[in-house]
Amino acid sequence: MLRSWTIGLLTACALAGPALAQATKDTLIVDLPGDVATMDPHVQWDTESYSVYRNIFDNLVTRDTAGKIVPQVATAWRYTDPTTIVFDLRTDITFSDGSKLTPADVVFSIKRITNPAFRSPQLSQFDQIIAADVTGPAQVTLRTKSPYPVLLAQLVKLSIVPQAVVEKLGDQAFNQQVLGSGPYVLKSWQRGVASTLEANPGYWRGATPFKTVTFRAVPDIATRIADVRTGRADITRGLSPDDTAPLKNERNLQVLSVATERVTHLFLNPAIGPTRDKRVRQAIAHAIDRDAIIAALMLGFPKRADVMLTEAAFGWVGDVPFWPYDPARAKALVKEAGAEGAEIPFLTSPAYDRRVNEAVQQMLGEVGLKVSFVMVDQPTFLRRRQGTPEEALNMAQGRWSCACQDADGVIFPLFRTGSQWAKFSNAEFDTAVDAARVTLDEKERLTHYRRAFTILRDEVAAVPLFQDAAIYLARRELKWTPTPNEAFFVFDMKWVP
Amino acid sequence: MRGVSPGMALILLLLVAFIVAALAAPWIAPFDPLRQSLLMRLRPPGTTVAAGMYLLGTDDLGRDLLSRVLHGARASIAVAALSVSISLAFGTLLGLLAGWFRGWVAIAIMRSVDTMLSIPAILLAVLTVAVLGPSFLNLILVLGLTRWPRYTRVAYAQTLQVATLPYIRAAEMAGAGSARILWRHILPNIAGPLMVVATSEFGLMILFEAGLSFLGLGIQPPYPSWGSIMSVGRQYVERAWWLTVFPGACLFVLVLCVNLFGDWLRDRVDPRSQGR
Repeated sequence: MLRSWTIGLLTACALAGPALAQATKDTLIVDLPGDVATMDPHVQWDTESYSVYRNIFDNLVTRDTAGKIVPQVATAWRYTDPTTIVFDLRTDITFSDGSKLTPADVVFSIKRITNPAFRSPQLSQFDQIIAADVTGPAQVTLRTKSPYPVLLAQLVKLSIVPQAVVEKLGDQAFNQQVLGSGPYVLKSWQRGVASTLEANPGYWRGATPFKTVTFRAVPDIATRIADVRTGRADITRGLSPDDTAPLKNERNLQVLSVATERVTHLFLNPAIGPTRDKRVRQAIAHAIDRDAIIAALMLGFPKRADVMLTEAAFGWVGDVPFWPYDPARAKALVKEAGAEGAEIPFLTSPAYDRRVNEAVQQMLGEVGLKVSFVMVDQPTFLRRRQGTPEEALNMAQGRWSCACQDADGVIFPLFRTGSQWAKFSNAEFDTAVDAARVTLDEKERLTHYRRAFTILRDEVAAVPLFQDAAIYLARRELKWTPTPNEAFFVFDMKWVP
Repeated sequence: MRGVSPGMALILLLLVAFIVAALAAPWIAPFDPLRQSLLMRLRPPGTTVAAGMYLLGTDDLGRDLLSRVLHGARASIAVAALSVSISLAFGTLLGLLAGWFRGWVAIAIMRSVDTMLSIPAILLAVLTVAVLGPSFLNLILVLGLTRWPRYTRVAYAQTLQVATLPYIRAAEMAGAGSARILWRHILPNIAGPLMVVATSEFGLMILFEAGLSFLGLGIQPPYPSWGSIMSVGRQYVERAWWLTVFPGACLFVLVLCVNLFGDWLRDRVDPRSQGR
């Protein structure tokens, strides 16, 4: 009796031990699929770099968990005319070296990223801004080429860098020793291995949830999962729906997922070969059982997309239904077009889900179209997809995100005549997206986009498949809600043992 | 089969079984290897449906693994046989020429052999496929045209040896031309060692094909190959062990049999191990 009581007490102590130790968690360990490309927030903007450096900087504006654009460095903004917008700024923000964040830093950041000579890969996100000026002790004014409704959505991604530090160090050295006003400070960056951030003690938005955050580059997904499972890491990203199946019953883990703004679709080339015939494109639309792909291959994680945009973006309309799955109709259309047995070359790279491609191949095979894959590496894929219609082939998978949550960043580059990715050309569509680009009136924009999506649907310029899900695996204690723009703000996380 | 041990008999039987299975795959496979059934993904071996039983389970698109492994055997054996034939023919021809004409011909040929042998074959194959683009034909050409130097070396050494023998001299004096002597008198006499090399190369080619397909540079989807099945299975090791285990086991057994057969063949043709 006494014996068992002692054992019980010991067990209780043993159980309480680690729980107490975890009550104040000092270090958060994050496993990312790769290393940061640049720490300089005005250079690369891949998911890995984004996940790390955005914790070091503040942005002019940001999005709340509901996706609404809310103040961060700017407290308020107003349009004085359709091309001029005035921002009032906070005055209580300091960079981690103690210097004040001033309107001059904001103007410097905008001028830096929009300077063509700086050659930022993000330039196209900001190049509508033609002027930025300090117009008061806590005020900056931006001017855009034309009325530009996406400006605020783009500014969500604008990190404010300290002018004095960047000018003193130069761009090269700044990338190594970045310094911002954000909740964390870069402590070390071991290229290809890991980067470590430390809490910024005087952060203006309050105390940070962890003293230290370590981001490690772990390319293999099985290793990343094992790391979280054994507690060597606290959170990782980049899981496929299949990866989650064996994790369901693990009590110490949680699978977090969110429908992102990324729309997975099938590009159809209306400029060459059998897909020139609208009936063939329509047949392809009818032949693909999107619900089966989502339910069986994706285990229900993504949401079906009916237009070439996700609900997370402005411009989305719910009343333009896509062609239904109807293989009999598809077969009849293929026959009508005289395209039975036609070969459809499909450009792809290892970056795209092979299973979705193969499922599409089978579904099109069933209605009499022969898909043949042309596998190339990702840089070649991107080059050819942007190249001539002949280089782009008849079909390809796409997973588009503009990280701006606006239709302008999606259907404009993909389908507007003359833009980088477009092989589709339709005057009426062009008029609609051009008009939506230069008006600030949201209602009017939506009307234009509804028109644009209807044309895309009727002409079958692409087959929207689904709204991608971003899937994270975390320890149970981590409380965090992932967002559609795949931002990874450690400041928003919490550790609740 | 006189002089064949029971172990060897088993190996020969297995080899024949593999070849028959590969040739007869379209008739003996229980399902269409390309037929997907998205609702039957990753089912374990023995799952029964109305259409029959998935004896080895299904893959990540709900295709029958047994049918895919059988058709994969076809790909493996066809690629190995064709690429070995190409490199055997090409390599032997060069070796014969070098050994017969000697002088600058031999220098040119044998230096290029040395050059080829100093390049890692798998790297060369990966590069070539990456440039030419992956296809069945390119795969065979790449494997065939990177592996000829081994045959050239053997053919060269053997030709040098045989060329000095009296019956070759006699044929020369009887007025036979170089081509006739090489074809009728030398080739049959050096064929044995070349076959031994070809056999061991055959096993290696099967492994190369699997390796390249594993890397996505070999047989292209949806057509099955052991390498590509295992490459897919790697993502599902925890959930669906059968995807890697069965094609892996087939690969292991087939290559082992081929290699043991090669050893046995070597013992039979090598004059030093012939007791008679």
